[in-house]
Amino acid sequence: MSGESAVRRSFLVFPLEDRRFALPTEDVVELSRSGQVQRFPHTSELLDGVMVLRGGILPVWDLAKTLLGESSATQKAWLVTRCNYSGDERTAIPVSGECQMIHAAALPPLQGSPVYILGVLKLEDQLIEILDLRQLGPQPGEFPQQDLHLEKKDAVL
Amino acid sequence: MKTGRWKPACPEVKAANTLILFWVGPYRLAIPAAELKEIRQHSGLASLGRGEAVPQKRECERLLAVRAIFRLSGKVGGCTLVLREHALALQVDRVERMIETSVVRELPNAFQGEERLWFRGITMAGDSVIPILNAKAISALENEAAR
Repeated sequence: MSGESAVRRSFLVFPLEDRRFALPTEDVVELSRSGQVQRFPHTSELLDGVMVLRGGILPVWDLAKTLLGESSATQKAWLVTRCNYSGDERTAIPVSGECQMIHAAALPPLQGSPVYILGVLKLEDQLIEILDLRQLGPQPGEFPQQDLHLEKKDAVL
Repeated sequence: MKTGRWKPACPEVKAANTLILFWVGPYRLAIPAAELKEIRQHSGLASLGRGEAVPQKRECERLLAVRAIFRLSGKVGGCTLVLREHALALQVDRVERMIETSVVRELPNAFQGEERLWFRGITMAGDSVIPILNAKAISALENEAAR
């Protein structure tokens, strides 16, 4: 975003520990209050595990660890966001508390801000950074093709 | 008036994958039953006299501790899964049960690390997500690391 934008847009403000951040609402699919992270061995640093939501399996992105350096101690809800590495894959992001939607004009990012900061919002005398999830997440790479053909016939143990 | 069945007498059965569920540390994983030749429990096996039971190793069989592959600390498990191929046996903590599933999915694309080689995909057992071990790929990775 360059220059002060007079256009008011909708943003979702969410807490990560004692800080608040914002996302453009078009990046957010829903807010889920139920869910449990299921973990398995992996080496993808930004991810915590997966979550099952209405039959779909979503990767859980530990955004607190990405932005603040450590995982959030409390996870009260999950934002389901559009952060597509390929196709329509959605991502669950745990947040620390209540979220709020606001309609405001975004200010340009502060000087020296990382590339993933789209701008800032002024809310209750605080400046809240607007995130660009596409710049924060790992970029799509070449994946080894997964072999989903398990067996041709059952074996008897 | 024509009578008779509109549908086949014996409805088609979708091919199911039979999986063995097992535990490694806090993680529950699966392996296709067709890849297993034998499951060995270590309790009946030889002890070195240090109070520690070790798995029997057959000729030409390579033992892989799955805990070590996933960089988990803790005691090596008490169960060995002997594979039909690759002259390979996997040391795990315990075997839970066998399930059938017709749905195997790829890992979400967000996962871009070694897990894409460790696992062939993921399946669901109820609401639980269970990764399916890719023994062939793990064996190849260990061979590469050993060189």
